[in-house]
Amino acid sequence: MSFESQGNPEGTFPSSSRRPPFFFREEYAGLIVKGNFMTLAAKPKLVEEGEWLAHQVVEQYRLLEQMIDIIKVVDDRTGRICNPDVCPTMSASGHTYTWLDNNKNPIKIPAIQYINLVQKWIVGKINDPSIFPTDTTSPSFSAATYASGSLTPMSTPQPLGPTNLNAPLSQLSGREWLGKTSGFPETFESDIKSIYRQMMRCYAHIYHGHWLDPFWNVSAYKELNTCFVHFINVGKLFGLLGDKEIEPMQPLIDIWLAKGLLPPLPQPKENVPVTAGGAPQAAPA
Amino acid sequence: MNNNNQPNRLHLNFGFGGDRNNNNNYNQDSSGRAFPTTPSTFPQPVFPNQAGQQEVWGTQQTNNGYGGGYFMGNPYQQAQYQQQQGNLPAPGAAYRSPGYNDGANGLVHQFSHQNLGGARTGSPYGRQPSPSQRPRTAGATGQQYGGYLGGHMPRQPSLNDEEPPQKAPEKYSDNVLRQAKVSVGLVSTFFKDSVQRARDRNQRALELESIMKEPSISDARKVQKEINMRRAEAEYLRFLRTKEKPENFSTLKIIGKGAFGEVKLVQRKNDGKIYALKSLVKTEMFKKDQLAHVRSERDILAESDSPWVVKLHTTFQDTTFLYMLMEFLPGGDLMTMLIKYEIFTEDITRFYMAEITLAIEAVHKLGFIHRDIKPDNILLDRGGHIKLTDFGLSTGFHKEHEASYYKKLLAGGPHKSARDNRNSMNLDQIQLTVSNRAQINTWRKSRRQLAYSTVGTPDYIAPEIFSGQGYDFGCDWWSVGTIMFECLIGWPPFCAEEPHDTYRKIVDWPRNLHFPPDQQLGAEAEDFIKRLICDAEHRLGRIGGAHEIKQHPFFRGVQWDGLRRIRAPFEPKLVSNIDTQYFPIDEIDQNDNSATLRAQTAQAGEDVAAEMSLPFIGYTYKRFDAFRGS
Repeated sequence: MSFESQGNPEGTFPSSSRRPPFFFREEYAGLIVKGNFMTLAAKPKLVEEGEWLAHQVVEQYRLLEQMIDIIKVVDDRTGRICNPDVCPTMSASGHTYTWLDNNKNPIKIPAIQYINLVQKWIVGKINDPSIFPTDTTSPSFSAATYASGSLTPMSTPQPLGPTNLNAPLSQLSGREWLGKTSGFPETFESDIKSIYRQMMRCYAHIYHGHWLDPFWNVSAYKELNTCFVHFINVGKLFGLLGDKEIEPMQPLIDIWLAKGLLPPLPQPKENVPVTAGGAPQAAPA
Repeated sequence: MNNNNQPNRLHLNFGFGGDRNNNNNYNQDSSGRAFPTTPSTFPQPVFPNQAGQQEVWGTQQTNNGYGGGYFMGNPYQQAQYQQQQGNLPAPGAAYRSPGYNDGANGLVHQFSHQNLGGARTGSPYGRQPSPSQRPRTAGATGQQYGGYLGGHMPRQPSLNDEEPPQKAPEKYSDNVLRQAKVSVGLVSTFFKDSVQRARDRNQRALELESIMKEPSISDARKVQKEINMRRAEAEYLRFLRTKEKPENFSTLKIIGKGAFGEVKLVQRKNDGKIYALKSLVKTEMFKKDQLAHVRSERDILAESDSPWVVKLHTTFQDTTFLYMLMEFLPGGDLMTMLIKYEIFTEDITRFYMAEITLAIEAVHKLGFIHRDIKPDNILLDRGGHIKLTDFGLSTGFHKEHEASYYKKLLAGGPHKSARDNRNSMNLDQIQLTVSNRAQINTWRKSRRQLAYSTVGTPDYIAPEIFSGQGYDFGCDWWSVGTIMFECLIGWPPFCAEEPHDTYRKIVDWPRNLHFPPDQQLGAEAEDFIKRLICDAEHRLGRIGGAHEIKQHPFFRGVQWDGLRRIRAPFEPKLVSNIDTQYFPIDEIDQNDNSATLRAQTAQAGEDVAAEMSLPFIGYTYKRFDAFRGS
């Protein structure tokens, strides 16, 4: 399964004297959290980067899922908020994102269908232990701590984790990749980038298609902003998002950059909590 | 009371254990702590104000000053839409300008708008359209369009308007509003938790850093410490990432069944670790007004890091159940011990009372009143030392613990009285003397049944809790007195056939507290009981708390500091780590009916699912300590 985007760069933002959409205005860029989002994004010193990004991607997806649930829930009287009549394609600003059909031809499908497919695809990746290993018993996770009982003689046989499968080969070949030492597969980096790209499209559609209806109306737009600023911060910090992908939402990101809520790039990737005080420094405003 | 030949008597095992070969698992408190340091640059969650609304600019005060925006029929905008449409580069690209609505959609929206506008009352968002705004299409716009569009609806609000429209939550059905509330709640919980986790993680890194600088620690040990810490951090992240679900565990035995759910001995499938998994039926918790209770239990267990409190590893939920994954304490509980041995010697009683005193002290230090200290809630660990559990009735100082808070949150609905389900006890009105042994034994038999019922037993509850005139930490000390009475005499001081008779006896305690003449207690023991079973204002501990309790002559000679390290009078003899011999499970139906309950919920549909998740937001919790090595 793969994805493709058909961009319409001219369409991103009409250059007329019209006011920008609400979500690109500073007064509607507010958040439910104060402070520097680097705290939540920077890789902790004692954590390997692949492990950290796996954690981040899963958490980012859980947040996005909460936002999607709002446009997906069935309204007794009018049906889903995001439905094929209101959103016949997966669009955001001047972009329409297409899905590939079985013959690898890009097709336009209703946004809700697109989002459902994306969710199914992401959940499949995230829950696949060969991509996102969760095992803590393989050699690199051989901690013999037993929480309440003692070591049990009757644990069921375990399939070997990816670490075991990969280790000898990779050591021979001498290749390096993100998350290798933690047992993540060689494709991990490209997988999480694909996931991130798709999540970005969902955010873009939610903003451009549903900011008023329903996020403004049900007073959830600040939560949406907060999820999104965290998503963008992690994405930019670890190079998971290209500028082109961010484009439909760039004006909002610029507002946050100007306010110092997002750090200007380039920047260090490591959270270094070792000095006195221990807190990461606030980004310059 | 030191007849060592009596088979049913426990024998004292005091003395500082030179022999500590039985897997003592005390002393768990040392390293796992996360300290509440607060680096200043961490994001601070903005919490909702009293009314449950986020108090931030831009949300609430839009009511005045934007009047024209919504209904301002701007002909230029219409033109712009047209123009924009014309600019679409690729044919069929289906680009839709933000806020654009073609005629059909506009009508759909408009109709829904009109149908719903103002129809609802009691919107949780506190912004009702005033009656004068109905129909919402009235006013200037109507006139403006009415002239030449033949009564056509005004255009939809656009993203590019000067001001956003008045928020219109009423245009959505309850499903949508409920989902929005759930999502908003989960997102704010997520950020609150994440900030806390980042702080804790930072603190752990600092701790490690100071160890690295410690000259007295060998290099090899430093390396090992760092490896352990890295592994623990990674394990914790994987744990957070893994969705905990009941299928991750296999049930070994059902060790407790109650009105709200059950407690199972389980084994995690992927690593073989053993836990006690408590599952509570959401709908039952909801119906019986237990939301505040389950929340306070989660909070106290999550916050405490005490060897006196049973450890909670994680909480999670599905549509049907709430789950609490806890450490398994194989020694059973004090109730089972009392049923088995009937009475304890004074020395053994002293040991348990001393431990209970320390445990209550630990709970009080956390700011919680347990309110339901009773033998069923006093568990014995592998070494025979006690831990408190079942904080369902505990009150902390969180508004989430007030039953009224949840009632408001869920606004209405019939609430069945908790007493409807009471299991009746098989007990005659008895005079509590030894001559009534047979009846006492009947009482004892029904004791366990009562323990698993909805109301539980009121036997150990202080009178001021019933009176409704307020209570404080002292009510837990009353319970100590009643438990001690039972340990020495063989039954609780106010036991009766029906719980309401017990209530009555407790409230009128001065006339109902009798020490049977044929069972001579030590003078200090009797005095201690009488100093606890008395009016709140005269009760021991009222001024000095646990410290005052510990000073009582009954406890003379108790080594408070090392209590958990001495050998307990009764040490469970276990044949395996899943040995449940101290849980009388033969009395418990081992049939798993969770599938049935789940099917019922599934039948009730998504609707109920969203509603059920609403009050349980923030319930899910994962503890780092569970992963700290060593």
